[in-house]
Amino acid sequence: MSAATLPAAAGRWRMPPAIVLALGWILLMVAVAILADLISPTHYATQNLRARLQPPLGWGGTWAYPLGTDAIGRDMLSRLIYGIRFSILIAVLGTLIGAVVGTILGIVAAARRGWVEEGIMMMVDVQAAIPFIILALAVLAFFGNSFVLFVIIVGLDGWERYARLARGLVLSAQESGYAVAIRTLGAGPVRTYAGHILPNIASALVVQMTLNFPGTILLETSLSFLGLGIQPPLTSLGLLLGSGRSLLLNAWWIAVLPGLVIFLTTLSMSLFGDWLRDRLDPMLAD
Amino acid sequence: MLTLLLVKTFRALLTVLLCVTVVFVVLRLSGDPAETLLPENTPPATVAEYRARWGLDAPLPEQYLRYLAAVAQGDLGRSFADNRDALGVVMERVPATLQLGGATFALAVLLGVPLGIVAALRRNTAVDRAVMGFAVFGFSTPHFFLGILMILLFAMQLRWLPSSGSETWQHMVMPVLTLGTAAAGTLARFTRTAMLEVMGQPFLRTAHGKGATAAYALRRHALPNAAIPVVTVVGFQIGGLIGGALVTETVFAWPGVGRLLVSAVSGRDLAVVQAIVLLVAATMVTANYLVDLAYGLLDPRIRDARR
Amino acid sequence: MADHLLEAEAVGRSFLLRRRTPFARRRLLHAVTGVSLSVGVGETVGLVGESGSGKSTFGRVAAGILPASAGSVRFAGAPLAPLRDTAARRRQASRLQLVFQDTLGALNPRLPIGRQVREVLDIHNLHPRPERMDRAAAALEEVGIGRALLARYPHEISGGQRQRVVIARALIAGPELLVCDEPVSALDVSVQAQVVALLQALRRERGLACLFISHDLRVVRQVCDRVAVMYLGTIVEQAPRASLYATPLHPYTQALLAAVPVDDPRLRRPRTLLMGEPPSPLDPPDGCRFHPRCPRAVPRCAAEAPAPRELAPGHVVACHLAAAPC
Repeated sequence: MSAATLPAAAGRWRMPPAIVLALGWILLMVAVAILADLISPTHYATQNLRARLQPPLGWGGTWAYPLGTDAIGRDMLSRLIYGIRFSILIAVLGTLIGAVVGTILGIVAAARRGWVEEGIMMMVDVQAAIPFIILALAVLAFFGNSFVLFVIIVGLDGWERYARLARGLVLSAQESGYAVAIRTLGAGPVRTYAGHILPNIASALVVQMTLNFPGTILLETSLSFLGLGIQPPLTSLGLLLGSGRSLLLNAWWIAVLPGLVIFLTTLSMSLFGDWLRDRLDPMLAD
Repeated sequence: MLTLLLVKTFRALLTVLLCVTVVFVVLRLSGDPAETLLPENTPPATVAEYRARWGLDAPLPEQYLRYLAAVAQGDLGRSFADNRDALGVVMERVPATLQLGGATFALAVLLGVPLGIVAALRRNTAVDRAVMGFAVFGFSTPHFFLGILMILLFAMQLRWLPSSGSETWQHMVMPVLTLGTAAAGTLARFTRTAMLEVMGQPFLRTAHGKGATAAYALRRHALPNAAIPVVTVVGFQIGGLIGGALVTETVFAWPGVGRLLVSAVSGRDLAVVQAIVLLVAATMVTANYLVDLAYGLLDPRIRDARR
Repeated sequence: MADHLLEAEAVGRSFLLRRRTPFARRRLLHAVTGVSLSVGVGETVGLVGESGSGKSTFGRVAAGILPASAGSVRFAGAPLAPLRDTAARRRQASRLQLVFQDTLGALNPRLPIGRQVREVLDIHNLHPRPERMDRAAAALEEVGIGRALLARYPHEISGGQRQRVVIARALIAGPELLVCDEPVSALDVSVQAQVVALLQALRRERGLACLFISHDLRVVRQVCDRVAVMYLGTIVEQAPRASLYATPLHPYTQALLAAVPVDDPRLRRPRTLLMGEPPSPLDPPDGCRFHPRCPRAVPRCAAEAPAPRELAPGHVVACHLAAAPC
């Protein structure tokens, strides 16, 4: 099975308009995240107390602050741009962490079988039984909220899905001839799993990453919204939305704009991930 | 059949035990439980009493057993906020959340399932697409965003509904709509898929052949079979509702367990956090267990296969 | 007597089957029971049998990828390396290799064949790194795969070519013994002939010893020095090739050979009919396993399992009624 590529001439890869839009939005978000320093009018923490609570363009605002300002005069456009950067950064880092941890555990479970496998699978069951946000909150409460811990926690959201998937895929890969053959040729476990089995199951794992990604973004934004995630002076989309909540009556844009961005991003990721899954791996489709 | 029941029960209990163990580990890793779970100004005598009861100076295995005993008896520490028994504080808020959860659940089922059926019956028409579009938007919209939009629209612009609190039924409308839309969307989607699968099966055509009307076939054959995946999804949704309740209760200032958890985490009232985690774990495992049983009862293939 | 390269003694291999209900006893499938077989340096020994005879299972035990449930296998005088001992297995892999029947499965679908052959050199650290790809290409050329195909993927070449690749891959580290499990069964007859010729050439050039497992008596006759016949997990007859084909002494062997069409229609051969169907390895018959289907069975056959007897030089038979050929 060839790895995912962007739409080529093959009819199989033709994307319906909704998916094109979704992909476009995702790329836009990624571009904004990368180019934040270049495209942002000001730094996200720059205050201007004489320009507080300005509305956006079209609702009485000026070009100086196209998306309005917040309670202490910070430019919403800049804050949005950097919010996107931080949220995407955390989501990407987190997804990678979760994918790596989950996949390794899944591979170990399939490679070792026996008690190790039973133990890991039980942990997977436990994890699947409890909403992750509760666990995340508990850990953050008990161990304090440092940036590193937060990213790790956010990343571990959904690890059990990678573990389950990887284990299943490795189990069937082990049955297949090439795994047995390469062991017979004298390869050790590392070469077998990392060099042979893993590349063959990678595409399914990548699809799982795109499916998990919206949930990861939502977790980060939810926690930050509740004030329990990213802390000032850093910013994130969730934090912006949370800060705008109390000003909803007077300055709706402070909450609605970040909310809109979050919504569009998770929607795009969901649509794209579903489409990708249907294309690449009919076995994974519900 | 009995063995199946026993195996499932055993697994459920094991999962709960595992959750409790994980909490125990986290508790020990994060410091001395006597400090973590008791407010600062607790008199030393009380502290000593807790230490003895939880066996905090005893070897680890004994601590673990005592912890299990404490949990079983509901002794989970004392809340910092008002120096009351943590579990009691949590249980006070449970009815409010149950209220919200129950209404949301009802909305999701009453809205989602019929929509899914309609979409399946009118497959590939505008109706189908509209329903599926609604479903996708429903479960993609983050709860906080939907909640805020609703407040903006219904509370501030239109002034139909209050934006926070819980006194009257009007207070419930927006939170339930917020939580319920996502759940309804997912349910609609799954119901549609399940119905389509069932509708395509030969046994239904046989029923038609025997002269059954569409309505009869629907009622006797299609619906019961479609119920199976729907029940499974319902099981998943319970977890989603708990997670969603956190944010929704905060947005609407609904006095439930979710909001309590948020304030407990910010205030580092760890006894309450512990109590909520354990309570949620027990609830989820029970819910999954019941769904699993229902699943086994509904699908005769599963019932008979394990004999 | 020279030391045998591969010595299997009273090898047994059983599988525990999955329980049907949680409280039922798990049943044992005896795939191989009491098989003793040896392969000398440079010798090719054929192992023949129907499906379900246990020959593939025995092949895997002999090659060291499946542990024996009973008995022992020694390679070059030492026991086979345990599965978990990576270093020992690697050393063993450079001397003892396995050629598979399912060539599409045995090759990694995502790697070009050149790289897969080269990887063996990487595993065993043979030859300096820059030379390895060249050596792999040479190995492939030796089996008749041109350099132009080096970059092809397994699904892009034919079955016969794949089998050559698998052979090249197995031979590149220079093993002394090759266990071939139905290497040509999946191929067209014309392609079979080519691969068989290739195997014979390689044998001659390298002095390779081989355990050749197949259900096809005609192919076995072309390639092997000695042949063993398996039925339901045990060896019923073992003999040098000429001896087996000319004077088969076990009723099962006789039936097998009688079923093989021969070129000369005028040749008279004893009519031996096989009755009934092959029983299941789960529940082998008492006494001689073949007795329910044997046209010459007597009551003793149902009661007592026959011990192998050497009835002619090198010709061993497990049958109460077999007599030395006159």
